[in-house]
Order: sequence, then C-alpha cells, then structure tokens
Amino acid sequence: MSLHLLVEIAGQRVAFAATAIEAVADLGDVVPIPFAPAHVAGLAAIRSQLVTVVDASVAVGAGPGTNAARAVLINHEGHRFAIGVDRVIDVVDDATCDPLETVPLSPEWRAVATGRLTTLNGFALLLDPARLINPPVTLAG
Amino acid sequence: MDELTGEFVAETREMLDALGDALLSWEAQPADTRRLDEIFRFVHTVKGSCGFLDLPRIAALAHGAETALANVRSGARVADVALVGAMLGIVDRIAHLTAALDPDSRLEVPPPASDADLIAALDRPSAAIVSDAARASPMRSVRVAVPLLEALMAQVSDLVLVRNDLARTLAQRTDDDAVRVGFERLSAIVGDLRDSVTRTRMQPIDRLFSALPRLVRDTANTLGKSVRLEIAGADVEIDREMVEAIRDPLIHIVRNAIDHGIETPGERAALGKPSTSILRIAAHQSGNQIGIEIDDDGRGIDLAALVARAVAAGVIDAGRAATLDSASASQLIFAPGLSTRSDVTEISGRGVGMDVVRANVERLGGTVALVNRPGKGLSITLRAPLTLSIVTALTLYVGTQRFAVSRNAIEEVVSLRFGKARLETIGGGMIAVVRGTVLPAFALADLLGLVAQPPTLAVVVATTSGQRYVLAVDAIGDPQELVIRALAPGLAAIGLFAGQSLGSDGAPLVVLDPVALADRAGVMRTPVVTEPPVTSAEVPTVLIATAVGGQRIAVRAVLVDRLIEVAATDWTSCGGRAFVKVDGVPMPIARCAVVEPHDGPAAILSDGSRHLVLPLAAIADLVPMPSPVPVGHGGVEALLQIDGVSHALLDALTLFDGIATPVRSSRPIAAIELEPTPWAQALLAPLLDAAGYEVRFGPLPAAELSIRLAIEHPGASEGEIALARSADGGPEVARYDRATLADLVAVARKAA
Repeated sequence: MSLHLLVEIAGQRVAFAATAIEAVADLGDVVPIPFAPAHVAGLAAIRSQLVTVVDASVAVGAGPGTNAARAVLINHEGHRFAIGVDRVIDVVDDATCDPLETVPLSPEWRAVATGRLTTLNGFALLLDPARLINPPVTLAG
Repeated sequence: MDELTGEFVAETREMLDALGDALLSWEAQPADTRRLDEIFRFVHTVKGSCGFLDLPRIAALAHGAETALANVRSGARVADVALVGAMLGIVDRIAHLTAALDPDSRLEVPPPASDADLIAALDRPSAAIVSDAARASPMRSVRVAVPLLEALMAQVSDLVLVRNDLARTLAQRTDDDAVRVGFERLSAIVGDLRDSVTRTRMQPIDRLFSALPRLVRDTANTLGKSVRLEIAGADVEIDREMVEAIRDPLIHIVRNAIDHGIETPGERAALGKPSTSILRIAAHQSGNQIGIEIDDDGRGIDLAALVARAVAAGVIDAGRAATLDSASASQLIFAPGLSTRSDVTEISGRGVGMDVVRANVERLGGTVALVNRPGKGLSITLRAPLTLSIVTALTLYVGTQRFAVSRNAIEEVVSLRFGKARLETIGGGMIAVVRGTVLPAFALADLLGLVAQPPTLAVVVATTSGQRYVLAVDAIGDPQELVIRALAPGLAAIGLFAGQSLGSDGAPLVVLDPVALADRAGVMRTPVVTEPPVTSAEVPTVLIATAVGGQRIAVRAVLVDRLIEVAATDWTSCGGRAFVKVDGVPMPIARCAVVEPHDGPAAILSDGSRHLVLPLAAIADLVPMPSPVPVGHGGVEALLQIDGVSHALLDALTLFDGIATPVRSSRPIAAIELEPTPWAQALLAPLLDAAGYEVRFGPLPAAELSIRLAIEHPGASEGEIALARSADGGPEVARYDRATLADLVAVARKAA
C-alpha cells in the first residue's frame, strides 16, 4: 500500500502518487509568459527556486482555474514545475488502485489519468503529473 | 619567442603528452624495456632540435639521458628504479625548461648547476632526486569532471539566490548590527565564491588553438601545400566545455580550407598568388558570444560546380538553381552530402560535411556564416555562446510586466520625451529617429502581444548577428546580475526567450533573446563580412561644451574617452604643466584650458595612447558635426555653427602637443642601434630579453641600455655597451662570445 496525495482540480477529487511529487507549497505571484501554451500559467518563485506554473484545470480541459493558492511541486526532466490545485484534501495510505477501463472519461481526463483510486471517502482519479505538464491532447488556446 | 623556438616548445610539449604513458609503465616495471624506444626517440629528437636552437642546457640533459638509454638498449646496463627515477627527473627538467622558454609562462628557471646533479644521477645506483614536477607548485592542477563543475555552478547559483532572498528578509526584520555585519561578510564571500566558480569554467581558447600549428603543418605537408598559419585572439576566454565542443567543427573547417580551398604552390604561382598561402584564425569575444573566423586566401567555393552537384544530388531542382544568387548558392555547402570536390581525399573525405559542422555548432546555440570570394578565398565564421550562465541584464518594463535583456545587447537608452529620439509610424511599420539615425523600431508590447501605454523610452539594441533596432518600452530598471536558467522545453519552444531568472527582488523574470525578437520582427541580419570595413563618409560627432573661460567649444567625439567630475583639491602643477588626479593618478591638463583649480565637469580626451583632461564649465551635448569653417591656428581646427552659435572645434594635434606617450611596458627598454642582422635578432635580442629588457631596434632616447658599435661610439658610458667586431680591431667583445655578452648585459642591468 502506497501513499497518495488527494487534491481537487477543476472541482474533481484527484490523486497523485507521493513518489511522483516533491512537495506541496503555497503559490505566490505568477508571472505570465507571452505566447505560452494555454495550460502554462507562468513562472513563480517558490523557496528561492524558479518553477513553471501549470494550470491543471486547463490541462484537463476544464478552462482556466480560479487563482490557485496551493501547488504540487514536481521535478520533471531537470525542470521544476508547480501544478496549481484548487485545494489539498488529504494524504492517504490505504487506497487501492484499479484500472481505468470501467470509467467513462473525457479525452482530456483520459490523457492525464492512469488509474482509479478507491479511498475510504470515495473514488479519485489517479493522475500522472508528467502528463499534466505536457498534455498530449492539443489544447485550444 | 621566435617562430622556431615556439615550434620547438609546442612540439616538445606534444611529445611529452604522448610520452606520459610510456614513462608511467616504465616506472611501474623498470625491467620492461618495451616502451624504452619511445623515450629514447624523445630525448634524441629534443637533443637534435636543441642543436639548431642553441639551447645548451636542454641539449646537455637530453644528451645525458640518451647515453644512459643507449646503454640500456645495448644491454650494457640494466634499468633499475634509480635509473627510472633519474630519467623522470631529466624529462621533468626538460619539460620545465621548455615551458620556461615561453616568455608568458613566468616560470622560475632552476639554476643551471642543478642540471649536472640530474645528469650525474643517471650514473648513480640510487639517488634522491627532487623532480621539478613536485617543485613546480604554481603549475599544479587537478582534473575535475565537468558534471561536478556543473553541479558546483548550479549550487553556487542557488546560494546567490538564497542570499538575495535572505538579504530582503533581513532588511525588513532586523536592526541588529551584529547580524547585519555578519550577513554582509557572508554575502561578500558568496559573491567571491561565485566569481571563482565561474572562472573555473573558463579557459583561454589557446587550448584549442595550440593544436592547430601541428594540424596545419601535417595537413599541408601531406597535400604538398605551403600554408602559413596566423593566429589571433588566443587569449579570449571561453567555457572549457565549449572548447571541447568547438574543437571538431574547427578542425574540420581548417582541414577543409587546406584540402579544398588552398591551391598547390604551382597552381598559386600560375594564378599570380604568393606560393605560400595564409590561413588566418582569429578569435574575438563580442558580448556573450565568441566568434572564430577562419579565413583563407585559396580558391573559394566554385559556385557553378557546387550548384551542379546540388542539382545532381537532388538537393535542389535545376529551375530553382538557375535563379540562385551567389550568396544563396554558397549556402548549398551546408546541404547534407555535398562537397565541391568529386574525389574523396584522405584529409577531408571522412563522411563529415559542412552540414554536420553547422548542425553541431547550432546545437551549441551558435551559428556558422561564410563569405565566399571566388578565386580569392573563403571566410567562415563560427559563433558560439560563451555559456556564461551569469549575465548583467537590464529590466524592461512593458505595461504590468517586465522582462530582462542582456546589457551586452543594449547600445543605449534614449528618452522619447525630450526630442532626442522620436518614433514615427510609416506604412504600418515604425521607425525610430535617434540623433538623426533611422532605425527599425518595435513596441516591445506589440512583439509580445501585450497591452501597454504609449512607450516613453527607446532602447537601441545591437545583436551579435548584426541586427540593430529600437525596442520601445515604458521604463527601464537598474542593471542586475542574473543567473540565467533554461526555460522548460514547452516554453523554450516559443523561441523568443533566452531563459528565466530570479531578479534581485526575488520575483521571476523572463529573459528576452534579442536576436530571436529581431528575427520575429523581421529585422535584416547584416552578413558578417571579414573584409576590412570601408570607411564610410559618416558624419562625425562632436561634443559641445562651454569652456571654463565661457567660450563655446567643440571636441571631436572620437577623442572623448569619458566625462568626469574633478575637484580643485586634486589639481597640482609641476614642470610648467598642470595636472589633475584621475583615479588617483595625475593626468595632464590641456594647455589651452589651464585655469585656476576649480571643482567641475571635465572630459578625458585620448588619442589612443595619451590621455589628458579638459576642464569645462558645462557640458552641453553630443551632436553631428556641421560643415566646418576651417581655421587651422591658435589651437582651433575649425569653427562650427551649432544652433546658431559659433563653436571652436579644438585641434587634436595642439591638444596633445607635448604630452609624452606613456611607456606601457613595465620592463626597461634596451635599444639595439645596429642593423637588424640575424645575429642581432637571434642572439643579441634574446639575450637582452632574458636579462629583463624590452628589446627595440634603432636609437631611442628613452632606452635604459643602448647597444652600439664601439667603432662609431668610442668611450662607452654607463647604460651603453659598445660592441666591436673583431675585424674592426675592437677591444673586448667578440660577436659570438655569448658568455661575455651575457655578463656585460647583466652588469648593465644591475647598474640600472
């Protein structure tokens, strides 16, 4: 049984494997970048380090999220990213994970999800943070 | 160092590098004499070269080693640990003395007497030899893996950022002086640490160039061509990793130039060219880029043949080929699989074409440009970033956003408010008029798709790719040192940004790439031309000011080094001339402006070697020079009408009249007042050089030591050495009596 972080993105309960993320942090001011892909909110400084801020809500096809105050930090191929989330719900260590086959998902969600997590308080989609950073589905700007 | 000695030093150094393995394995197993031949060849070659070059110390060492090794080879002697040790001592000493031949090395030369000990040690069964390698501590170095340096650099960069962060926090939260003093000290050390770490990554490009003379000589010999290599800018420093990365492309281009570009001596003679061709390789740093120009005087690219081959290879169709201009046609050399020669040669025919060279250089973030002069030669310019990850940058404000841009790219910043510069919209585009010069202009907000107020500042940008344009912005911040980090791949793909950074206020900054911006905006790149620039009839600029006496004066702007403030207390008078201290050093005041000491502005004027101070009452402006009314006396070159007022254009000749050229060298000068015969150049001059003199030919009043023929100057006084050819019946010194000459020079040097 492994640790999972439960967060809310675009009104949905989703989960990240604890091994896939570095930390959870407060998100400060985000500096937008001209011509950046729609799901990239901009740059931020977290603990004196530069991070690229990803708007997870856009990445899953739900349109721009409200200003996220919390972010999940990950390190992907040597670059640091902060995935903005609506809120951090919990850390669970007793969830079971099942394949996605039985879940009807929109293409955007399907592109970033890797499994269905069952917790004591209900289901959550297990997301791959690397796919949120580079959403395989072309997003309309 | 003359050319022959230089070659000897380079060659010996190369042989020593190659010899390392043989020495090590011999040291490990003295009885194993298989590697002996290599060492024998080395000392034998060195001995031979020394005979030519008159290097008796090295020759004696090599001779001793050669004798001992010959005995081992003939079986007359058994190699033991003592012999190996003695041999290593000799090889190290040869290496040391050879390195010391390079005047730049500043190596201490061990006393000649100690050579005899080393040679004697070859015959002693065991001896304690202190090898020069152990003593030469200034030259010691360790090898460090590049990834470790990278990690160090990244950690130091982070340290700098944390320091900046902490500095802000401390400023808000504490008044404790002890904490503040401690932090300031820490902060200074962090700064020094960053400088040191940055330096560990830099090294002179000479490391790349030092292999070239050999490469050129070997390649030219193989091909039966005669090539003279001229290298310039070997002291330009670049990132050590960049040295490795540029090596292959550079070697390839050099080989290509000799193989394909340069003709055989016979062909050159038939074309009326000098039989020896000249290959020039010059490095120069511009901004945060390094440029390496490889310039030959060979046949250039045969465009007709190149286009024909491109058509044959299917790179381009015949119809399109017919419409190519020569610049585009020469670009075909970069197409994959093309060569201007049909025969594959030993030298260049390695399946690596210019396409690979260009791809490799572009992968480094560089460019390859060429200028073809059919029948006359080819110039290829490699440009690559110095990969300095720390740059001084300015912050440009646009609307609610700000961006950083390397200060190197910014020529000047001019306000749009006071008529110094203006923007005009013309045909949907914008041009800027900055002091009469017209430049393409772009609102940074438009380029970045942002909404902003009308701009107030014109930033004149000049890129390393030869683009010059104006970026109009709202405001500009103070320069700051930024650690530039790569953007995440998805953002780097936008193609307008050079990276990201944390500003000194701790907020993220996007760093603009001025070349990419210009390309996006469609600014023409000026081709890099290596021909000497033709002096254009550009209107010169003059500095206009009010002299202390109230006259309106003008000085050509090229003479103005910088503008300063001087204080009356820094004035002094000496030997009929007035001086004022600038940066702690007295600098002469222009005669035409000698006035009572006073506080005020002044211009430092320079003619390239001499400097003087021109005190002024007020400095007005820099303006284009209107047509002059020549005057030509009284220290006034001409009268200029500027804004309806006559200004006296000061005459540069009069200004600098009577100001001595400073002796730049810290070494005293020895003047050889003899014909520059081979004897004087090859024997006398090095002798004087070795004694610590800067050698000049011809009579020089400033010389500390003059060397003359006794017969013309009987009765030599102190500071003179009168030589006499034995044929003239002169008294003391024969021309080839090296020891006596050296003594005479040494005595003169001491007396001085």
